[in-house]
Amino acid sequence: MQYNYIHLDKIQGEDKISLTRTLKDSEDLALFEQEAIQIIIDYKWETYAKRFFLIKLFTYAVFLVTFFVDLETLHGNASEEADVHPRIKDLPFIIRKVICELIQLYFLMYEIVQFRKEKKEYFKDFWNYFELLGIFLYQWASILDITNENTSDICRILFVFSVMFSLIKVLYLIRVFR
Amino acid sequence: MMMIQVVNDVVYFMLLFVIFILTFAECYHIVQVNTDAYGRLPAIAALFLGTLRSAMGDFSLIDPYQGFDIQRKQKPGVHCTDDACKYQHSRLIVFFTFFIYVVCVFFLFMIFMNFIIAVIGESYSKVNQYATAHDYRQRVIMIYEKEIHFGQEDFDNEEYFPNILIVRKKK
Repeated sequence: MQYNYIHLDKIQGEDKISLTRTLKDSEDLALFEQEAIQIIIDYKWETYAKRFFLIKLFTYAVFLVTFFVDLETLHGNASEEADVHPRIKDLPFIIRKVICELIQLYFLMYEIVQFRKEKKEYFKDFWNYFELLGIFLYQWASILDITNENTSDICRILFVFSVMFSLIKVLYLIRVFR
Repeated sequence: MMMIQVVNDVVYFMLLFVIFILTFAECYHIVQVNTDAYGRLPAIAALFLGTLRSAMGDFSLIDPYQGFDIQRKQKPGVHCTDDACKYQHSRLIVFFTFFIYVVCVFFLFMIFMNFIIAVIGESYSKVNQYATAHDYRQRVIMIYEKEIHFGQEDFDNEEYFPNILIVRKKK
């Protein structure tokens, strides 16, 4: 049996966030092959980060399901013989939109908080651009969708882009699992 | 993250690939390959797609019934006897188009496509070598993202930030 002692208080010092910041900014991959570093990361991950990102992933999954169900109704009642099918705006439509908007708002708030904490650092990470662009495109598309009677071409293109950005976001969130 | 690495590695290769395809598309354009199947797309865009398809191994760039040798629509009451009236292109051009086609398939499909697969494979194995390290790096980035949302009471939390970690290992 072997016991390893890692004196975290001496490593992290007064400013406790500095340890992760230094590790995050490190370009040297060999550092992450050190056993002690791996243990520290595993500990932090299991104690608080994992659950947080799982919740985030779950919330986004709820959004995605609602969003995709909503998109399925985009072209109205296809069995009627007409070139343009007006969008059916009944109660389920409103419920779906409200759910989507609330979740998007939550993610926007999260981004704003992150921006306020990180300030300039925030714009160095290109994921954040994707995130903001995704939210923006979704909002634009859904505003067009809600205000117009029929789905316009612009609206469709915007929806396609927001679906693509949602894929990027899923890839980003799926990192929770190895 | 692995994907980004791989995309980064092949981006110049892809650029070269696009240039190759464009060149062959332009060649097809010069010999006026029929692009009716692509509807309202401009000829060069249609040929670009066609060449891309043939680079991917889908050879339906050629019409299955007429090949590159497109027959003219016959006007009612007119009976054609010579080639110029019956076919759109001269015999020489048709032969030449097939020649371009074979060169194109050889370069784009047989050489380039396999090159790209090899480059991607190599890039992937390079990334895979450091997969665990990459993994831990991603985790740190995520942990940091969580930690910036912490208040002072979280930093004082003994469970979140213990003074000592004791790891027991079986030898």
